[in-house]
Amino acid sequence: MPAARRDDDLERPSDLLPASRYEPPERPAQSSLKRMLAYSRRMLTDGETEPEVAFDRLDATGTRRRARLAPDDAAGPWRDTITTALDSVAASDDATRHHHVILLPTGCPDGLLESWGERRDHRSLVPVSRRALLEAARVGTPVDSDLPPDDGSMLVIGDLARWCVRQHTCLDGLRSFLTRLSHRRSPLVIGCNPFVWRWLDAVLGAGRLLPEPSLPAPCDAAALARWFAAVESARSVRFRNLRSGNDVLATDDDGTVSDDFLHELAARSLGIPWIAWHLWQAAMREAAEPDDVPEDTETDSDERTVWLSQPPATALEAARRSEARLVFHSVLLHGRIDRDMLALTLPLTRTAPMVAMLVADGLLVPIGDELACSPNAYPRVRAELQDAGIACGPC
Amino acid sequence: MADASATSPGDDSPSAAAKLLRDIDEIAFVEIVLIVLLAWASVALAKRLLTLLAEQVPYRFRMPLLGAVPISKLCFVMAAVVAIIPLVFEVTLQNLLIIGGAISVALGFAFKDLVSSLSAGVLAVIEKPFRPGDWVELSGHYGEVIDVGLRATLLRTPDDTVITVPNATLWTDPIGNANDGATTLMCVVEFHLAPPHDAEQVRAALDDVVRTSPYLDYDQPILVITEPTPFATRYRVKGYPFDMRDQFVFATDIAVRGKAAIATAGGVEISAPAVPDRGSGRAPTPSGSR
Repeated sequence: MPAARRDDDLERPSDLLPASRYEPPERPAQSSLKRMLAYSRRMLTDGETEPEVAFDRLDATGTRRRARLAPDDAAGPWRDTITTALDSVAASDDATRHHHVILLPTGCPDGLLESWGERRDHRSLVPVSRRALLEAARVGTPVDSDLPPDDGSMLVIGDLARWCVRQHTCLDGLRSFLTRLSHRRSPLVIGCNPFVWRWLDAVLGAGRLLPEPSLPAPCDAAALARWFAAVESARSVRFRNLRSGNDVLATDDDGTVSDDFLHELAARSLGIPWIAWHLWQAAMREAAEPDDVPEDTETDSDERTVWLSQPPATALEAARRSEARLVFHSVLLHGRIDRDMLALTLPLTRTAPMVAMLVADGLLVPIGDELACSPNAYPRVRAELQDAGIACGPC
Repeated sequence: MADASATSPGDDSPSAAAKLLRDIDEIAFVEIVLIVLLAWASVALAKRLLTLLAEQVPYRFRMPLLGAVPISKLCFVMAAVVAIIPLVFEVTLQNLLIIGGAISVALGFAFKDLVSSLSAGVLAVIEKPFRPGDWVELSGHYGEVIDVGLRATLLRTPDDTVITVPNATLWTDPIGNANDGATTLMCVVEFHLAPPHDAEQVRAALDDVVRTSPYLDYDQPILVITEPTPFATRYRVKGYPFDMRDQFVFATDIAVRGKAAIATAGGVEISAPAVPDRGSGRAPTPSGSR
């Protein structure tokens, strides 16, 4: 077993933070107090509370229009940061900088690392299907035989979770795969979500084989304001906070975003731009008729106003909470997973009803034949798992 | 001229000392009832509120909140007793000595067990050999402590039976506390295999079974202990679930997948010691083996 790799032994691209130093933005104090009061009220009244805003007077913005009112690239500020950081890695002759693990939380746009590799003519490792991994484990053959030769060329592994199956028969194959990766002298970039990294590090010692993961600095309210401002000017709309009536992108003289909405959004999205991107779209409301605008938030602007307010979160049924947590944890750990494979990784005798319920509630989303955690629900699901004592990683 | 029979608190005159109990018309019954009701309501409210909060807050705050329940009960009861005593008794030094002496004799004979339980209950709250939320073994019963009363402790067993254990048993019986205030506890699953097998392979397989359990607390150690016994090789698999209320499903998960892993690794489980073959002189055959 190689000696533990210490963070300060390796030089890290300056644009990326070590995962251990990632801290999501904090909520504004007033917002935290309101949340605690709403939480206490919910506990004492045992269930539903009325929405905090007058949704009945506004229509949810249609899906296509929402997509037009959001930036084109969900990865936003992080794509440029990761690209710049990886370009410097690829250009470096320093062997200590040759292996990098980038943490990419749930909801990451497909192929973020692979597209970078493709633009730079780097090889990407195509994932093996999980069924092949299980079959190989059953017959005792290795599945890492398709690793390209260690000839000094950069290798990109877009999503390490695609090689993971939480089954005891597959651990040996995974150990072997990680060990072979760690022994490569060629540059290597691995993308990985926080849940699977936490699991690999705890049960297989991945932190001793590969360097500590990095990720860009969290997107705070100012970064989100700069990102979304381009949409506002391009679409001739004004984004306003339904609760306060304020322009959500307006800033004070010192450059601080003045309204609470983006501060709240940055905190709720854990500083992850694609999560913020999804929550931004879910928050959009527009008035069908001018009279439908709440009186205390009327403006004289001729621009089309898009009102923003976070919808109430879907409540998890208390009786099924422990089963739901197991399903969420397995889905997050595998990134995306089909229903049959999900059933194999769970100790539940029947998973289909629970999975169907979570899909119907919008907490899990189908992507082709597979299921993934809804980006809109991710912050809440992660908080649920963390409160239950499940290790979640930094974001 | 002052009424010789009237006294005031702290009055040590001979007439006051002679009178232990207040006159019936001097006793504020309404006040006493109000104090009792207030104490009862405070205890009930504190228990309900703290228990409710413990189930709603993040898991790491559950145990401290549950641990506060018996402490708050004790405080309210003691406050009520301290408030009622001067309303019923003439509180003078001589009277306190008389009361103390009488109580000692009476309780020594008549309420020995009750007093023993009460004092053990007070000590249990102060010393905390266990607290609400702990999984303990008391008087041969294993379960979760749901209430630490002054007289008795309530346990809920894994079969959902509530056992009332008098606190007096704490003086004599050992107490086994599986988690001692922590949010997790060790679970142990045993397997007994017939001796001819690859122990290293079985041990590695069982280790991987624990590592892939959905209930596993990653931050706690995992152990697989191999122990030869006269009739089998015993494997003791040890791990910690992230929520100790899942200890039984965690053990079930390990047991079920462990059996499959053992079979794949070429091991054979046995369920009874080997029966020696007296007639032929051949080696004993373990029951249940192929």
